[in-house]
Amino acid sequence: MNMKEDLTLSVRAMFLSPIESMLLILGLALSIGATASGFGMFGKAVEDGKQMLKLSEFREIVVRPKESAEDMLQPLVETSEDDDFNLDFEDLDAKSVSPAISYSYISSRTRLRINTSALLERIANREQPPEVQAEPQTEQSAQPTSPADAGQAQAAQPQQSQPQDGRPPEPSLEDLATVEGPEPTVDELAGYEVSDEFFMAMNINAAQGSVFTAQDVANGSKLLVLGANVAATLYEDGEAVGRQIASFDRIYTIIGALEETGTVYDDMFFTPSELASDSTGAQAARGPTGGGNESLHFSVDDATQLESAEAQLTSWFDSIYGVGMVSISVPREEAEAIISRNEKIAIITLVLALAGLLIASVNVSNILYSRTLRRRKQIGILKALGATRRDVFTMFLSEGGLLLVVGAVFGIAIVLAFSQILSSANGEGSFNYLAVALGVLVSSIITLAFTVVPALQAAKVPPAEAMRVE
Amino acid sequence: MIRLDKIQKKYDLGDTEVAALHEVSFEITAGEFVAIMGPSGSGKSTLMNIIGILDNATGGTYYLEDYDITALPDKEQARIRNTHFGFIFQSFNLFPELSAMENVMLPMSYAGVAYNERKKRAAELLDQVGLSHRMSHLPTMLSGGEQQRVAIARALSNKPNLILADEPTGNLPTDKGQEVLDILTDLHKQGTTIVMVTHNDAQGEMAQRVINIRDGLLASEVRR
Ligand SMILES: Nc1ncnc2c1ncn2[C@@H]1O[C@H](COP(=O)(O)OP(=O)(O)OP(=O)(O)O)[C@@H](O)[C@H]1O
Ligand SMILES: [Mg+2]
Repeated sequence: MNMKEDLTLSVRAMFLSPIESMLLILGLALSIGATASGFGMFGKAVEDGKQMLKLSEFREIVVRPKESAEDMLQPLVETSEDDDFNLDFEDLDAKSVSPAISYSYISSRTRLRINTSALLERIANREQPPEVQAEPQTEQSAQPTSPADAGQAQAAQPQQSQPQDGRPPEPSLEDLATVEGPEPTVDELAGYEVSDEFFMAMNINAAQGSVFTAQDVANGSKLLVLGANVAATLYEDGEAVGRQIASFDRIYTIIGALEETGTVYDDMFFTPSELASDSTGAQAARGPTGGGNESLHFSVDDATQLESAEAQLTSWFDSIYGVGMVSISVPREEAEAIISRNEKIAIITLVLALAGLLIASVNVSNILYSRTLRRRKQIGILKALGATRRDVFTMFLSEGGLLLVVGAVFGIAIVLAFSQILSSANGEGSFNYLAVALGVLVSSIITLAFTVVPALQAAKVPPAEAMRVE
Repeated sequence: MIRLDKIQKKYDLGDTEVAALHEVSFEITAGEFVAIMGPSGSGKSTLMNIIGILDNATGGTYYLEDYDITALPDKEQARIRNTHFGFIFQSFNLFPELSAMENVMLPMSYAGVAYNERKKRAAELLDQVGLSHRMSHLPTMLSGGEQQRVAIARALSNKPNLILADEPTGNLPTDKGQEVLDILTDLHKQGTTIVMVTHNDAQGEMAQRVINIRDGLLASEVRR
């Protein structure tokens, strides 16, 4: 590269005082790295917050029965029978209290145990006592059956299908439904029982097939809609829609696969809520996980209306169940509190980083200034040979700039290292890289501003310095 | 070429003022070889600074080619120093970080000469002062005499009209000093104007004109 000789001079001078130059670069790298990371963290906090609040979950009001834990606080108080209640499907009518509420649905967590061939085999084995199995066939055929033996064997069979010792009844083989077709890759799925407006409230569409309708829910149809990941992995061939799944005595039909959402819903299945159609007896049939965790969700289009809708819902539920009997929460409020806390932490980090940057910049400025003092004679000679003030200024600013560029490169390496540490801790990108770039830019401009002062001092050195003889 | 009219120079030392030059007036004609002589502290270097516009006078007028250049902006002064004057210093004043070649190239970069052109001319000049075998050496690897010859090559790089040399042999042994003087005499013969400060009477004899300075005043002038 054919640099002008004064720049060559600058660069070589830097290499001739390597310790000083390296300290300067280290200081700059650390402060630029810290500042840019601070910017990146803050940017990420803001971005995440925005992203999070965009989720449909945060435009909902959630209604649940009061926690049973709360009942336990006053066990001595006489409790009425009515205390133990579940919200029911009709409560979704509360939607009409506010025009702001566009959708309402009921939701409860559930699991689906699949009648896989492994399960069937295990139950079949349990129904055949080991003694009978172990009995050698040859003995049975070779010796004419003794009456005692034959009677024992016949008595053994029916005995086995009876429940023993008060243990809960095991499903027997003939109770279990079976379906044709390929075997699912898992034997259990997690999901939600929901009513039809869930899909509209969450704004999730079917990527394949369809979601279920209000009619399906009312009929209590045994349907499944699968989240994107479940749909893709449930069968080895990746095809799910149209197939059937047997669970206990029921057969479910998979009618749809959802588009990918990037949320937990991708790993879930959805089935029509049985609360909508069942008589009370169905509650027990749904097994140990069903029931008791229902929540009603009311979703608004415009988040600013959450508060008024919440107030209207509260008075509606209070009038039906009595004041304070249901808990009404707005997840958005909790999310906003967390987001604002994260943003504040990021701002504090940023301020600390900027303080470091300021200290480093002042140091750079100082060292450059003392260099200027040491180089008065050199500047005088440059001017005697024809350098203008501007030439000298440019030269000294370039020196600061060069240190800055090298410092910034190492600073960016520090940012990447921080990012690595953070993302191995929380499993995702931890910085907003646009903000990191902005941070590098801002800290570079601040540092450069601090190198302007010594460069101006250098430019002022009089040319007569060249003549001085020490 | 240069006319100084009642040039004064006072140094402001805060509470006191030091008058280094009192109303000095004289003229330098193109093609002359002028020696400035005088005891230590008499103001020789101060006068050289003013002639070379390394410093501004605190009184009087400076004419260059009949133009009043007493108070020019920095950029113009730098251009004149760069293209009209060539400086040779007592302590050589080479940049230790740059090779002989690069030292000679430097003033040409301020004149906007292209890299290859600079390089070519620097090689010619170093050859001219007998250092073609020392071009890529750093100043620390050169003897005093060699360093001063590099400095002369550097002073000549932009083909100046005037060479200003402040005790160019002051830091050199006699024989090496003589080499430097021979180069200057040659340059003078080729038409370059030279102003040289010296303590050495023998060197003064080589000049066409000797200006004697005492206590900041022009004491006497000898022409040959
Ligand atoms: N920058 C300065 N600040 C204050 N006084 C100065 C400065 N430069 C020179 N002087 C004073 O001005 C006077 C003339 O100094 P100058 O350097 O011109 O002398 P000189 O003739 O070159 O001496 P020498 O032969 O020792 O080099 C001296 O008294 C000196 O102390
Ligand atoms: Mg002197």
